[in-house]
Amino acid sequence: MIGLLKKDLLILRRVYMKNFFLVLVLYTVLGIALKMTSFFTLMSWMYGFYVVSLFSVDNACRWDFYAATLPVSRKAVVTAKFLLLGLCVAAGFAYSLITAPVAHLLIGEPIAESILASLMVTLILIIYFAVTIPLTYAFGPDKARSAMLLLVGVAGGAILAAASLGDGAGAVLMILFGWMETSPVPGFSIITAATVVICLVCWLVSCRIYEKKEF
Amino acid sequence: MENAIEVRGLCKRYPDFQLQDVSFTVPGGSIVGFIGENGAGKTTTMRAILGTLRPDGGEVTVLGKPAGHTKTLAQVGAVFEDAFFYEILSPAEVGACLASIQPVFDREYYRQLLAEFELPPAKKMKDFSRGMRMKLRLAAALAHRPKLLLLDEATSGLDPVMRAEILDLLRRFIQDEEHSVLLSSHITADLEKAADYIVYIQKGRILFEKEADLLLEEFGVLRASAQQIAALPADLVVASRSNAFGQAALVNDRRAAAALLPDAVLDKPTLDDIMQFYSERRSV
Repeated sequence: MIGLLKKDLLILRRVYMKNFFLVLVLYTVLGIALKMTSFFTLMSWMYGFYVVSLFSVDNACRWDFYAATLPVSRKAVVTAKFLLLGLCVAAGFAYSLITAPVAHLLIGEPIAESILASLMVTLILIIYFAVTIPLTYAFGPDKARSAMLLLVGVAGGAILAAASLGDGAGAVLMILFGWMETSPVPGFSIITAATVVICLVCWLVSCRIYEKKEF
Repeated sequence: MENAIEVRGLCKRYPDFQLQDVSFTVPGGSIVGFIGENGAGKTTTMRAILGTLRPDGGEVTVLGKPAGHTKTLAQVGAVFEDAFFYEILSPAEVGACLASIQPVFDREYYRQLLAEFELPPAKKMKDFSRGMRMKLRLAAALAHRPKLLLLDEATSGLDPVMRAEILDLLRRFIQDEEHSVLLSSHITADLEKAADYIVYIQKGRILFEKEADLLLEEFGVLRASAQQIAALPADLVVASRSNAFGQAALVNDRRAAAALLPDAVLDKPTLDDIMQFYSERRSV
């Protein structure tokens, strides 16, 4: 497992190191210059994409076949990818924690609110990427990307449709995220638990798909 | 020593190809050359031996255990032409990863192999020649000191000097009778030099499994007139062909052919000859 993680981290370092620093500097500068703190929370999005892009790298060198000739279980190969995803998204969240005081100084956003917003974005991203992984194992990286875009499009469309039916987008957003203001602790607990359950289901499905694969 | 690999009645069906009742063994302490044309089923068979695909029938035993067993894979080194670490990594980084993956990884031996193969540890693989990449795959396959090596076209892309060195390394590898090699290659001259046994697969079926020396000793390429060849017993002639210089035939018993046609020219065949005649027999 450690070796599998090491291999992915080495590839990330080799392939994305320059991109990583460029995006880090760019988002930080943009966030400060435009006083838009969402730039600070978007780093998790970037890190998650790095992990998903590794599937294409693995495809290019037929890593899955080579890994199947090594003394590692298929479950370990899948688990390593989920752990890496967790590590990368957590690194993005850590960055948003560090920048929360900056957001406070810039636009006076309460630090606790910044952190909660970042946590919310992080949990959503974890779900997004966790769902991407089994789709990638099932259909390959390209089709999985398209499938996820479709899913996000459908979800977005549903929200917009709901907004047009009721009292507007504000009401829908209130239903979806209003609990963050009214009862944040139980709300986040439920969302966090749901994220864990979704991740577990995605991991189990991924293991099942990967076990059945032939290389 | 017991057989390192036992393949019994292996079947695998694809829409456009199938392995049919493939059976052969790789005895301990031997190098077995696995030959066949492109698409004959060599790589598919090797994948079944490694357990990376599920057979539709038959059984494969590797070092006494079913194929694909994780503990067994720790004692197997596999080299395939197009499956390895991403080429942006260096040999040193490959070694660092494998040291955490393989239960036993001899870092010093790996360093020795890199030096012996003249591979710069810090240089990225993408800057390597094809031969250098193949040598790195081989070093990676040997560094955990496996009991069994599976090499799929491992000598392709290498110059003759390097090929000779690798064949020498393989001979040293099997010397203690505890280690074995299954080597598929299109460079049949390498197999003539190194292999103890030859397994020939054609269109998903094993045509023969023979000791290499016996094969080259028993078979013969006969050059005679078409009438003379036609008069030979059918079970003696594997295949015949005509060319600008007359008729030639592959016979499976050189002595018997010599006794029947004492004036005909009978040459010792190469593996290439044998493959070509068998291939033509199929196309007739």
